[in-house]
Amino acid sequence: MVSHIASLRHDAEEQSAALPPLQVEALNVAGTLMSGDHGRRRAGSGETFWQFRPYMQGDERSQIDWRQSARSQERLFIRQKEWETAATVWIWRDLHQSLDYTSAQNRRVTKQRRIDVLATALCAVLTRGGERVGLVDQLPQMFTGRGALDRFVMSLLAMKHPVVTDAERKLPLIPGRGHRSAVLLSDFFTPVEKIEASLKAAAADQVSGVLVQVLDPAEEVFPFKGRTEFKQTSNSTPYLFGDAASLNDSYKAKFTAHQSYIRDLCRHQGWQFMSHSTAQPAQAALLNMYSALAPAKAV
Amino acid sequence: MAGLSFTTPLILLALASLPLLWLLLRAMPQMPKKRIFPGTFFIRELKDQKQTPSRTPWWLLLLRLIALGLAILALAGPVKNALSISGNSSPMVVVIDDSWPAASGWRDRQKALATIAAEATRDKRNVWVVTTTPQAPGHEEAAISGPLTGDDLSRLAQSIAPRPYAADRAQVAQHLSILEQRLEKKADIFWLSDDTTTDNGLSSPSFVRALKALGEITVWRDASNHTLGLGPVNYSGDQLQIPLLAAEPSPDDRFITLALTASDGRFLAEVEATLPADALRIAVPLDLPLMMRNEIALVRLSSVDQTSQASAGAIQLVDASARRVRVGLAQGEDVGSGTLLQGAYYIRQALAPFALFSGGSIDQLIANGTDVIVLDDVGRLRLTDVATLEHWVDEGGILLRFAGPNLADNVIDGASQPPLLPVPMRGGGRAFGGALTWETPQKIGDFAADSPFADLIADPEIEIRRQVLAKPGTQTATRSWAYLGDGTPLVTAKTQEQGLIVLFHVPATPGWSDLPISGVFVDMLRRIITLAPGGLSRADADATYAPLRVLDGYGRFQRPAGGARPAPAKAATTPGTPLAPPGFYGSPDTPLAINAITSETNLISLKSTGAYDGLASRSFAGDPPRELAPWLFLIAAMLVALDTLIALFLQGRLLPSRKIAATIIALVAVPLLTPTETLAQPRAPIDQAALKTATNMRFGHILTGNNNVDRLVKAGLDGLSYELERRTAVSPDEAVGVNLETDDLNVFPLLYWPVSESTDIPSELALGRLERFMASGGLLIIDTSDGDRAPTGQLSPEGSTLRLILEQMNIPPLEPLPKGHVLGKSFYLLRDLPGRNNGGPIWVEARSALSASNGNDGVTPIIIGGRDWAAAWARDNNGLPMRPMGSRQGFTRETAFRSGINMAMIALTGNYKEDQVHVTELLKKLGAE
Repeated sequence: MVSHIASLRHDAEEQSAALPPLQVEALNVAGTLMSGDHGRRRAGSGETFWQFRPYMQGDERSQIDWRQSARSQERLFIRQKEWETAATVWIWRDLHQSLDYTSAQNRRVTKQRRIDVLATALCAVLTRGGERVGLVDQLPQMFTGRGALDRFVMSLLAMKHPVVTDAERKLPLIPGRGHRSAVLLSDFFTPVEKIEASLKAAAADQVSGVLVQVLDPAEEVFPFKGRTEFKQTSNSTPYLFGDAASLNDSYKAKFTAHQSYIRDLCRHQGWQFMSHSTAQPAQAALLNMYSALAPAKAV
Repeated sequence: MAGLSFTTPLILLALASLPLLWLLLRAMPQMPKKRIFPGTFFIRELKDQKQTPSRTPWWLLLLRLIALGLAILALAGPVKNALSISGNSSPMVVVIDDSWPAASGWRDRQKALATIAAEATRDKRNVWVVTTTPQAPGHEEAAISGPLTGDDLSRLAQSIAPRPYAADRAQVAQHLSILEQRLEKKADIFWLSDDTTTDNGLSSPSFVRALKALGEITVWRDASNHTLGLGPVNYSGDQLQIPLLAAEPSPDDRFITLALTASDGRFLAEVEATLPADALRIAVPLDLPLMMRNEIALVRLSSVDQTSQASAGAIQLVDASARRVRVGLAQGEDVGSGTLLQGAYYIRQALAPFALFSGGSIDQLIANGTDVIVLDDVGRLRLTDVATLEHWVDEGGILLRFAGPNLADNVIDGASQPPLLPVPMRGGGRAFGGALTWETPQKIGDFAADSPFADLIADPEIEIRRQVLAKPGTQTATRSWAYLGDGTPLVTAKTQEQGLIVLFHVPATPGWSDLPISGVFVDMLRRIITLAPGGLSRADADATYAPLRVLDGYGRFQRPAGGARPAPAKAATTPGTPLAPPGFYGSPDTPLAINAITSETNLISLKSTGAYDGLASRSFAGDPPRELAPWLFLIAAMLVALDTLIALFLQGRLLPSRKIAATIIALVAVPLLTPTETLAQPRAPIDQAALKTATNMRFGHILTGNNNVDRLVKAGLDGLSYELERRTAVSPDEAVGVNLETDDLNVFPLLYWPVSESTDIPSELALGRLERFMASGGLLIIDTSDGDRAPTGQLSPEGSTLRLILEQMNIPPLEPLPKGHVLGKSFYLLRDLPGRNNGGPIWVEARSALSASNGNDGVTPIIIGGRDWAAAWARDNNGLPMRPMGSRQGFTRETAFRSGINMAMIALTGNYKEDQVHVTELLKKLGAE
């Protein structure tokens, strides 16, 4: 018991050590975006004037806008404001081991790190705007308001890397009901069939959102030569190739096909797809994600 | 043989497997680079399209094969200059020519033995040692010893020494069969050859054959044979000469020096000669005065081309057989009348091989140390000559007289007998037709049994026609050595004190008799002169002589061994044997000499006889065996390491690590750069003490370790410095004590060295520094302070210590301070250099040496005296003298200071003052021009 507490505490300290830089980095990224409550383009509880509507039976008398009603005869108008409410955005970050990879020698930007940064930054932007952010597969699932970022980061770091085989890898189910947005962060190096099935299921479940494919530059250009034994992760099946350079074309073809299939799939299901390389700055990806989420918010 | 060989050559067969390995290695792909790459997701269904280029590069293969090949070579045990031929388990047989020709290179042989012993020890092999010099009869097996271990052999190498005999390989060859039976298998044979044979190389083929039966032979020998030997001294005509034998012709002329010494060790002469190139034998003439020729007891080859060659063959012992009796033929008007030369001719003919002749007056002959004086038909002798001759005969001279007409005329019956005759004579001769006429000429009858002629046999054809008769009597009967057929004496002799007077009753000319032209005459005369004191009395071939001093292989005299047996005289005609080793035998006065080389000896190089044909050979000067395996292993290991690096590099694991590359580059580059760094270090730091002493001129004194002495000397030098400053332009700083062993001497112009009885002799290094100090212009004053105690010239304790020191130093030749030396003029005019005393001589470098050596500008670098100068100069802090000076204190102290100032001036100005002495002379010369 004592050891359990000790290890917990150890983990916590380890995580809190990583927390400030992650948070700072994410805030840096998020600081470039302004956010706030969004008009929902419908009457509701908000501050902004939306429309006048004739008084109907059952409306609160206090809602009658007497000034407007005085301009017309025999008609009472109710001043309606635009329904302003916080949106719920579900963020899913992939935790597969294949993300723990970087080809760059001098930087420590693994794909996982970039994903975490993007997730945190997105959370920062959204919570500052008053939105509710959900982290898939994690409790408490929803973060909002002041201090949401801290809790989000804590939850983020507390997440365990699940040991799953390549075959078990799949996209998540987005919790909740009704229309909701989701941001899926991964490299999506999973069979397209699974992605297709997941997306279709999500679309049927009224989930729409963005697929953000985070890639390492090496995964786009395949710079390998010579006799090489490849493994997707450290404990997956090795594949030996006599001359890696000769694989270049086939690899690129496969890679592009995979990517464009996912892109098409997203378009068909009403999702956004974007690809992000760790060689690029995170801000660009964040902006894209944000703007990709905007139409979804405006539903 | 000098090349490479292998201890286990079978392993080399493994080299044949290398091509196979090549194929195998080619077929095996190199290790793949391992990558974790998420993109594998896309390629896992891809087929491997190109498998072939994964082969190892050929140069990497080659590298590995070379490493493997080197390892195989190393395992095979390569040895450079290996000793063994037939593997490392067979026994060894070491054949040593422990003969005198090997003596000069014996050290090489010991080294070779040590090398062999080391190998025997390492491989635990048995060693048999065979020596080739003759052994005493019945002990021939002593030449073969074994089995020995390597340690035994190395001990033997220390103790074995060359013997004074030539190798007798024929004898050894007979006994090698013993060894053949005892060896289990073929042996490695190392023949440490002296390359010399004295039996015309006849025995070497059988010897080599016998050795070959035992195993493989390696001949160790010198590159060229420098063996030289000296043959017996002999006469060629009147010329004394000694043969010089060389075993092998030399390509260049060789300059040799012979040292001749007398039996009492006196050095007689040194003879130089040149052995021309390609000459094997020359006779070196020994030009010596007649008197000295008979004194030669030993001729030694003292140097060959400036190097010494010490061996029993390079020394020739000379005994009486080489001596010549000096026969004086009296002649001249003052001796008497008559034609002497006619008789002298026959005498010379008879004695020529055994005697040296001289002519002259009796006085001259006696003065020249003549052994035998011949008076041929001399009638009347002067009274002074008679007295001289009488005395000389008493001292041991042999007077040989021949009768003749003159003698006959001088003998008058009734008158007094002429002097110096053995028997009384009758007047007139006996001849045909005279009063006592013979009917027929007489033959020689008997020889007296107790005479030296006892065993002579007269030729019956000799006729005596006329003779001078002796008066019959007991005297005549006892003193007769030879008789005529009728019993009248032909030769009579009388011993007189030490000497002998012999009279032939016939002349030495063939007029009266045939005797002078007969062989008996020669024998008779020779028998007579062997009685001369210098000559060896009759060489009885069977007489034996006890050994007196024997030679060892290096030609050094040794006391004869305990069991040494007497040698017969005839042994002197053959080279020394173990029964009669070379040396002197008999009595010290007239010893018998047995030599390693006799007149029959020939020195022949074995190489020229072809004895070595087909044998592996090895030079003594060659490199010792060296094992190469460790080096090969090292190289192989380095190649393997390199291969590992390359393999890592090829797998890309080394690519990122620039640090490693930088390290390697640094490791390679740093040694290249280091020399420049060392160059940048300019020089050793200057000794601070030396710097301090060098900044001001000051005197030094050598520390003795005795505080009282050191303090006194320092005070003395300071006192002198004070006076110098007061009186001259010289202002020295405080004197400094100098440690000879450590301090730099070159900063001092003058060093004062008090030598006492207890002074330790400095190390050679320190003495060398003192020598350099003197050579570079310093002045060393050595004070033994014993002038007052050594007035008689005897060696004082201090003096003997100084002598011990100077014996180890290279000091210039010295002479006592001559009159008018510059030391007496350099500042004050002084007759002497008195100190606290003025006794004993003062030594400075001899002028002859000064003029010869330009190094020091003609200034003496050393002054040695016992004057205790420093004590005279010493003052305490109050300026008061520290040592009393006896009577007339002021004056003597003043002269002591003056001599000190003069010495300091010499040290500082060199020959400037000496030139000043000559200034008047120079001005005169200038004026004259």
